[in-house]
Amino acid sequence: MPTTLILGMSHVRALSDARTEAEARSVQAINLRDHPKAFDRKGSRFLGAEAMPEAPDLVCLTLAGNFHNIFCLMENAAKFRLGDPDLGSVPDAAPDRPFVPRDLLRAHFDQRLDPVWTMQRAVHARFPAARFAHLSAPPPVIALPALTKAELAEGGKKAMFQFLAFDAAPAPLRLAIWRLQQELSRAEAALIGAAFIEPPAAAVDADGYLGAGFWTDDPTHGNATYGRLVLDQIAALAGQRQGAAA
Amino acid sequence: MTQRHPYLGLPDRQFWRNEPGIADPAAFDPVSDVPFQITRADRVVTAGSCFAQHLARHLAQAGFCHFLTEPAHPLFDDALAHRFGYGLFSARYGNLYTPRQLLQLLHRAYGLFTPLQSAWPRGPEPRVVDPFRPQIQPDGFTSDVELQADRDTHFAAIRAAVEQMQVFVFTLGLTEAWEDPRDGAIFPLAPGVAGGIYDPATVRFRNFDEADTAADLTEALAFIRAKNPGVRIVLTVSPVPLNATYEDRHVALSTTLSKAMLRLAAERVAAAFDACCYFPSFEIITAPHVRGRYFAEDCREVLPAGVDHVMRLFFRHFAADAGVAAAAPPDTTKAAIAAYLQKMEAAIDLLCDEQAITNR
Repeated sequence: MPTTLILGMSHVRALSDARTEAEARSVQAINLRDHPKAFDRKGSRFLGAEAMPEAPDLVCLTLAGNFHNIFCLMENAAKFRLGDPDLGSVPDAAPDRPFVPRDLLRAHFDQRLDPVWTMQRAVHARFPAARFAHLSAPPPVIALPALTKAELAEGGKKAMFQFLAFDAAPAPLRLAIWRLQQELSRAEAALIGAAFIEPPAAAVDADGYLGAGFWTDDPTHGNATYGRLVLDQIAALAGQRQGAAA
Repeated sequence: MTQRHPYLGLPDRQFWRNEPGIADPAAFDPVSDVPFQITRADRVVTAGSCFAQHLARHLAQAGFCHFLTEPAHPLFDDALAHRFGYGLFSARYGNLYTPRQLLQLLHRAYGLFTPLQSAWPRGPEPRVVDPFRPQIQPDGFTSDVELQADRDTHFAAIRAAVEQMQVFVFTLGLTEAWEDPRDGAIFPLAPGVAGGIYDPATVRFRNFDEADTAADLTEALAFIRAKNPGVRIVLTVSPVPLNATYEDRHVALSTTLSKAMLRLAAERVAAAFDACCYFPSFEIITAPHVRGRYFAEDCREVLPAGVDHVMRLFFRHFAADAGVAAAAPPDTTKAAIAAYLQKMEAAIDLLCDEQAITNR
């Protein structure tokens, strides 16, 4: 039976949760956060994880999907607006914010993501016969959730969200920065011969934000409904491969 | 009683054979008395040719205030910021080779001149470069609207520099330039070299003489003084030879002619303004005393030892509190950014850990 291996970090959960029992036999999803020794120290060699198939037909990678959120989920300590090819900058009516050229942040991201590119290449090297697909992280939500007093009282993660929501970065800036990471991830996938799976169109609203009903109780991860749509995209890709082989 | 001849009793500096630099190149010091001092608290703005970048860097390293009105966002490290033209000069104007370029930049920043050409295409992609600083970003801008947004910020930074600086150091670099014949706009590079399309109908070669250069420099400095009457001014001439000449003669001849014109213009303009002087960077690097040792293998680039000599004399003569390099104040914004990123990484990490908790 053809096998698909999904390797990644927290974004794996949406896919894992969405699998049917039948799919679970052929689609294995591994959160590498549970396998801290999967990579050697510098990430330049992928050692693998327990119970990982030796020769999957398709390997799907979803690494560092939340990287962009480090920069913009909450307002940056030094607020900025980002250069934009259509609007000039986003936010577009905020001249008091210092301007950051888009290419400058792109170059910075490329530097910072270099260890991720190294890890991806290491996984590619580990499965030389497999076909690869790199999965996009879900786009940002248009507004961070406001919580009820009861939810706040629960503390923990939810309380943290309230803290984040107090000073959320403007939604257009969050979307622009997510797109910047997308652009780099897409280019890196093309460079190493992997397909790039975009967020499912059905899960994205007209402006490009993650649609209501597709995120978990935190606004940075897709839920099982979102995962189901991505699994369908993966299945279509796996099917293409089978078709081509036949 | 009359003197035997008029040279008797004149200062040693006026006699070649008395120059200590003949025996010891490092002792060569052609700087005469300077009309003002510069303190570490003074806001110093630098502009001009590429040699001016050395000056800016050394000022900052020595604890002087290289006044940055268009700094990179503190998120970025210096190496990356420099690749995008930040921190090299007070604002992100890149090299200003001719006084006409300086004058037009001032006029553009204050809305007094809007050139016909505002963006040049770059390569086959839908990208553009700024005709007036075509190499400020490695791959140009994503669109002309992004360039315009950046330019608005840039012009505001120039106005801030002009109005708030206390010392202005301008290094004259070239006389050769490229001009739009329709409106006189001066470009630092010919179209086609780093973006743009060479079309003789919209660009022509221009070689300014000493009168043009002096007139442009005078107008530029008068403009600055009108905005900022107290600013002190230092003029220098870059010792770096021309990389290329468009004139039909050897580049060495164009270099000497160009440097002679710049030197003449600097002398005349320095004499015409109060609190304005010429500093001999050109002479320190090119004098026979240093025996050509300050030029790199390519006979053009100035070696660090040469820059060090120039700056040693700059500080010796201008620095009011010379000798002790003040420690640069800690960059609190960078620290705040580092703390922010750390906090956000922890927050995102927490979110991602929560994601690992599952019953399947």
